[in-house]
Amino acid sequence: MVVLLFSCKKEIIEAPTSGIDESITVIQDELENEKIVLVGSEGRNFIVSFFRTLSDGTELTFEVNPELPVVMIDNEGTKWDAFGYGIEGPRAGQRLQPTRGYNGFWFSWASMYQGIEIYEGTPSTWQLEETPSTGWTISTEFVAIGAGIDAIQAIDNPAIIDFNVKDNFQNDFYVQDEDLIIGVRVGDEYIAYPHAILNWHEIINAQIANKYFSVIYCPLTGTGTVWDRKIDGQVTTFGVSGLLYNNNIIPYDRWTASNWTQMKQHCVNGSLIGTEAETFSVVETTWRTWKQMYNQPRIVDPSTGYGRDYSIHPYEGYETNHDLINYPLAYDDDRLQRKERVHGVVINGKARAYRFSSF
Amino acid sequence: MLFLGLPLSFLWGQACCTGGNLGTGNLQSTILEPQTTSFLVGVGHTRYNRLFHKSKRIYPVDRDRDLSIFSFTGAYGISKKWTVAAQIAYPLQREFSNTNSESKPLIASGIGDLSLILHHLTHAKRKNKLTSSIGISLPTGQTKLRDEATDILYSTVLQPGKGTWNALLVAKYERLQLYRPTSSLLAQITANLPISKYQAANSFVYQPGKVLTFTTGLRERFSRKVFFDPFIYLNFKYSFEDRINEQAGLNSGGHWLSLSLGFQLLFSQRTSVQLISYLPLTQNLKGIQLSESSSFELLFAYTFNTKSKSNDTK
Repeated sequence: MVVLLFSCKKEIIEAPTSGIDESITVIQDELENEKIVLVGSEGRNFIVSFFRTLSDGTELTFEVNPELPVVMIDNEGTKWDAFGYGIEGPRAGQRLQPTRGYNGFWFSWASMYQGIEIYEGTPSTWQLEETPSTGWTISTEFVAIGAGIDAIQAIDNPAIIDFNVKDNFQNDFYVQDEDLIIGVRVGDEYIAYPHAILNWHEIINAQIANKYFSVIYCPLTGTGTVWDRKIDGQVTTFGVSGLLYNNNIIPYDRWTASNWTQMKQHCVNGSLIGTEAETFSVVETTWRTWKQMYNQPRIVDPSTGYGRDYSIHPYEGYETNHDLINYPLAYDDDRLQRKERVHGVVINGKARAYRFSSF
Repeated sequence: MLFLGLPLSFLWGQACCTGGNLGTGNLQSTILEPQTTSFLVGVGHTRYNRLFHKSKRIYPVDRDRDLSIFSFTGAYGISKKWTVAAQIAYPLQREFSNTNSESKPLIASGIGDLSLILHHLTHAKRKNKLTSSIGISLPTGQTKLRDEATDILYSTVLQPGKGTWNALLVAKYERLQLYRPTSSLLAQITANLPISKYQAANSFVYQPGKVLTFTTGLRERFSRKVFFDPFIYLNFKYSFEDRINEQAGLNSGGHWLSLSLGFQLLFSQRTSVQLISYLPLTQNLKGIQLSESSSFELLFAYTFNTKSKSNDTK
C-alpha cells in the first residue's frame, strides 16, 4: 500500500487514493547549529518542527511512518506523533522538544523577520535595522490601529463538544473537512480550535484540566499560536488590543494591560515588556486529518453566545488575494507570493521558512 | 432666506466608516440671490452601534462609535444663476469598547478637508427647477493623527482628512406646487469621486471608495408667524470599497437605505434653522462593519444681502 522513496534528506510516501495528496514528508535540517526535523504534508496542510537532539545529548534521525497519529519513526525505533510524543518504542512516553515554529502567510514572516531564509530558496537581500520606539521593543512605525481595544471579542472558556460522526454525514457541521483547525493536546485530551471561530474572535482563552492557555490566531497574517496564560504565577486572559504590527495581531494581557506580539512571541510594551510567551505546541491541520489522527475528536461548540455565522469567513477572499494587504508592512519580500503559507522556524533570532510545497 | 451649502454627505465621508453616514444633506435651493452672502453653521451627530456582516446583524455589538461633525459654510450669490460655496469641517470621532469598561476610547479629531462648490441654476420654468453643482474637496485635513497614549498613527478611517482630492457632483430636481401651492417634490443625485490616492506609511496607498447617493421626498410649507417646512426623504447610498494598494479593502463598501425626517424653520429673511434625523432601514455591507443606529443634523443659517446694505448706506 505504501511506497517509500528515500533520499538523504527527504522521504516521500505515495498518496493514497483519496484524491488529495496525503503523503507525509520528513525534512531534517540544521539552523543556527541546531539540528531540527520537520514533518508535514502539503495535502493534509500541516507542518510541525522539533529539535532532533534530546536532553541527554542523543541525536536522532527520522523517517516517515504514516500510521496516524504516528507520523515518523526514529533510528532507534520509536514512533512519534505530530505533537512529538513517543507513542511506541524505546522512547515511548518521552517527548521531542518543539521549536517555536508555526505557520503563516509569507508576507508576514518576511516583514517580521529581516533576512529570513527560504529552505532551498533564494537568499534575502533585506537588511533593515528596526529602531525600537520609546517604551516598546519594536518600532511603532509598523504598528497600526485596526480597531479599538476589545473591538474584536476574544472568547473565554467556550464549551467543548464531542464531534458526532453523524454531523459529518449530514454535512451541515460548521467545520468542513478541508477547513483548518489548531489542534492542542492537554494530557490525553485532543481539542480542535477551528479557524472558522478564530477568524471572528482571534483569541480563545481556554482552560482544560489545570492548564490555562490562549489560542491566538491572526486572520490577517494566517498565524496560529497557543500561549500559556499563566504568567509569573498569575492566571490571566488575553484580549485583542486592536493594534497590528506588520498586520499581525497584538494581544494584550488583562492582568497588566501589556501588549504582546504574536509572531515574535514576547511582550513589546507595558510592565511585562521583554517577557517571553510560554508556548504550547500545536498541530495546525485540516479537520479531516485531525479526525484521522485522533479518534473521538473534540472541538469548540459553535454556540459561543455570539451571534456569528461561523460557516462564513468574515474576510472572504483575503486569503487568496495576494495583492491585498490591509496595513503597512516594514518590508514586502517578493521571493514568494504574499499569501503563500509557510512554516517558519526561528532559532537564536534567525528565521527560516519552509514551503508547504516542500512536503 | 433659504439654506444652501454643500450636501452634508460630502462631509460625512471625511471620517468614520465606509462612505460616511446616512446623511445626504439638505435638499433646499443652493442658489442665492445675486450679491447675497450666507453663512451656515452645522452640527451632526451619528451613533454607530449596529454591527453587520453583509445584511446580517451581528450580536452582541462589541463597540460603539460616535461621530460628531461641526461644519462651517460660506456662500455667495454671483448672479441669478450662479452661487459659489466653501465649506470646512471639524470631525470628532470616538470609539468605545462595550466589553471592556476600563479601556480608553479611541478619540480622533481635527480639521477636515476644505470643499469648494459651484451651483448653477440649470433650468427654472414654471413648476420645474433643476440645479446642478460641481465642486472639489482638497486634501487639507489632517491625515497623520496619532493616538495620544501610544503615539501610534490612526488608521485612515479615523483620520479627519481623506487625504485625497475628490470631485463632487450634484444634480437636484424640484417640482414645485405639487398637490398644493406649498408642496414640493425633490430628487437629488450626488457623487463623491476620489481623483487621487493617498500615500500613507511605507508603500501603503489608500483611496476612499466612490460614494453615490440618491434622495427623493416631499416637502410642505405651513405659514404662521414663521415658515414651518416639514419634509420626509428616502435616501439610498451606494459606496464602493476603499482601495488599498489598488485592491478593494476588506471591510468597506456597501449600500444603505434610510429615511430622513425633519423640518426647517424660517424666522425671517435672514435666519433659519433646520433639523434632520435619519432612520436606517436596510443595509448590505461588505465584510464586517459598524452601521448607524441614529443620526441627526442641526443647521443654522444667516443670510444678508450686501447689495441692499450698500444701498441703505447711500
